[in-house]
Amino acid sequence: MRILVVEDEPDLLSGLASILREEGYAVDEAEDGEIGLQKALWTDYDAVILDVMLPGINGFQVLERLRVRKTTPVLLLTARDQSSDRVRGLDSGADDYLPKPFDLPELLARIRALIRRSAGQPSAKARFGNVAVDFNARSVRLDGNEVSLTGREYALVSMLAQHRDRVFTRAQLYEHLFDEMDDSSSNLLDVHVSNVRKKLGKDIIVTRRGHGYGIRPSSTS
Amino acid sequence: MQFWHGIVLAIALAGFGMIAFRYQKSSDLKEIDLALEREITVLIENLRSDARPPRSPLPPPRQHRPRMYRGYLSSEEAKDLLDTNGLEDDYVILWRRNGSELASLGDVPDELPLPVAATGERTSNVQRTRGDYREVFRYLKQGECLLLGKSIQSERAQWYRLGWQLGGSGLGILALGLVGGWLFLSRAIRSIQSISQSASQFAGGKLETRIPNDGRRGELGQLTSDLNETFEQLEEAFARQSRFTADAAHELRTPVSVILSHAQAALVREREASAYKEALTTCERGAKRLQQLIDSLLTLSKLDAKADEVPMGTVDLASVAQGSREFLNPLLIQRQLTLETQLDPAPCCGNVDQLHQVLMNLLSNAIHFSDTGQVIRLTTGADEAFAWARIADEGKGIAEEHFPHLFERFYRAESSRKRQAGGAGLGLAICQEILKGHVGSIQVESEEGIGTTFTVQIPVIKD
Repeated sequence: MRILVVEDEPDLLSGLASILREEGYAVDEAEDGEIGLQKALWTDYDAVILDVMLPGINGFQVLERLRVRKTTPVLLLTARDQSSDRVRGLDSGADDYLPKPFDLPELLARIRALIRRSAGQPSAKARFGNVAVDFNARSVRLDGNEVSLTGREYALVSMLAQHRDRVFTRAQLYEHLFDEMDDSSSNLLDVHVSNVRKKLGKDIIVTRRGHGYGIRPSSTS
Repeated sequence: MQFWHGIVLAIALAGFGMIAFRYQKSSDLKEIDLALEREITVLIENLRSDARPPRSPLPPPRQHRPRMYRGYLSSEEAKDLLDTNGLEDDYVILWRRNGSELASLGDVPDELPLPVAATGERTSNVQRTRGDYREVFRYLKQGECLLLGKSIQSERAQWYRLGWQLGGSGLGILALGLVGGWLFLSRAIRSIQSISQSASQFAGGKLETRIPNDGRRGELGQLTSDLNETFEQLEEAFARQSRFTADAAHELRTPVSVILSHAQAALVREREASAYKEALTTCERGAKRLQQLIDSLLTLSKLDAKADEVPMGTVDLASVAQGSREFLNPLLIQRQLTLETQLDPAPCCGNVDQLHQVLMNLLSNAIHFSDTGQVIRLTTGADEAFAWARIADEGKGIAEEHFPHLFERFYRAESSRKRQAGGAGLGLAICQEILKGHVGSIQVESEEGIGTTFTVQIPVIKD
């Protein structure tokens, strides 16, 4: 899961980025509208957190230009808490809206819901045979017993679990699991895949030769 | 009001009508009386002189004694004597001493008894009005009574007509006055009602309310436009105030978000001591920004309210500038900037603390917008009219499009707002408010890539 945070207040930007990383997301940062828009256009983020009051082009403008080409889920963040602003935000294509100052757990919950909704997985829980994933608790159980996964491993599992009918190429998975500052090689992805298979069973992740990876269909067990 | 207006008008009209009527009547009567008087004198003279008309131009002989007095004037003779044709519609009656009628001429009305005269009236003419007749009678020496009368029917009819005319036109004028007054009053009252309605709507919070000016002129038109102007200013002031409040809330929210999110993030789970320390440092930074913001807001609201009279005294801008320079020296060294000063005496009337704040704000701005190694020039001096202070930097300058907004509250010219560099956008607004209180001014000149110069001017004090 990769998220872009566009916020011009440095303390807030760094704070948001670090807590999101702690939550297992790959996080990119942008300090103004122009850079934010470029990044959002280049990369397929799972969600964008966008401040409205930005130097240069503001959040509404970023959103309008982004929507011309992309349907990335966007959560608007703003200190202007007026009904007209909320309406304008949602009308310009925002998927959610949160006024500042916000409650951190609420922001995280909204991000999770946003990502699930856009992936077509409205429920917070999913089951694949003997493997159960709880997206809210960020936990994975095998035959009812909790399995301890690293952040990256969990991110890989939840990414595949939330897009259960989709097959991701290695490049796509790499893009969603590692942020822009991460220059680890794509071999690392294979390491994570094999670790997950070791922990949850060999067939939890299926390899479609020539295409990439997908999660085991729920019906196959 | 309408009622009293009507009463006064009615009384005035009735008074005027009565006077006109009386005057007309008495002047008509006087004329008739005069004619009767003249005629009766002629008649008496005729009787006395026994002359027969046309009268002889010669006066009668002195010894001549009228026949009437001698008692043998016949009825026919008397008629002859009295028939003068002097008046129209008149009639004459002559009674003998014993009260019987001796002669009568003209249209004598029925029922005309011998008039009874009071003692004093025995030898003089007596006028009286009897029904449709005006009469004058006189007792002669021997007790005969001569009465001359005239019908005043036509005059009475005229008076009657005059009375109606006066009454009618009076009523007409009264009605006209009442209707006119009512129209005028209701127009005035309607205007006042619409004004008061608009005013109460405005007071009720509909600030866009204006009094419709339906082509009103004069005092009401003036009142309308004055009130509308006041409404306009009030609406603007309210709009300014609510914009200011919204901006202030916005500016306060950002540091609160920082503090809240860092604190919550730190508390999510157990962490290393260093992580807590980092979170606390960030929170402290946010709190300091809040504090700075609140101080600025309070300063501004004090300046707005003019709650406390600021003590003013003789201040030398040069010494204020010297103080500011010393205060900011550590920051200058840290940013590796040079401050060149040329401080000539600049005496003016002002408040030291406030002027200190002005120079501090301007110098802080100059420092924040300068790059390492650049020079800031601080000069003071005085000319004929003004004491001035000038702060010039070599920073990147301000684009022209920002000029009109520079002194607005919460306005930031800098496109990339670096929190550490810029404040909340209140510094210049505070400077301007302070200078307003000093009857001074602040001007800015700037060219992109060359630098910015702020000049503060305050009326000079001459020795």
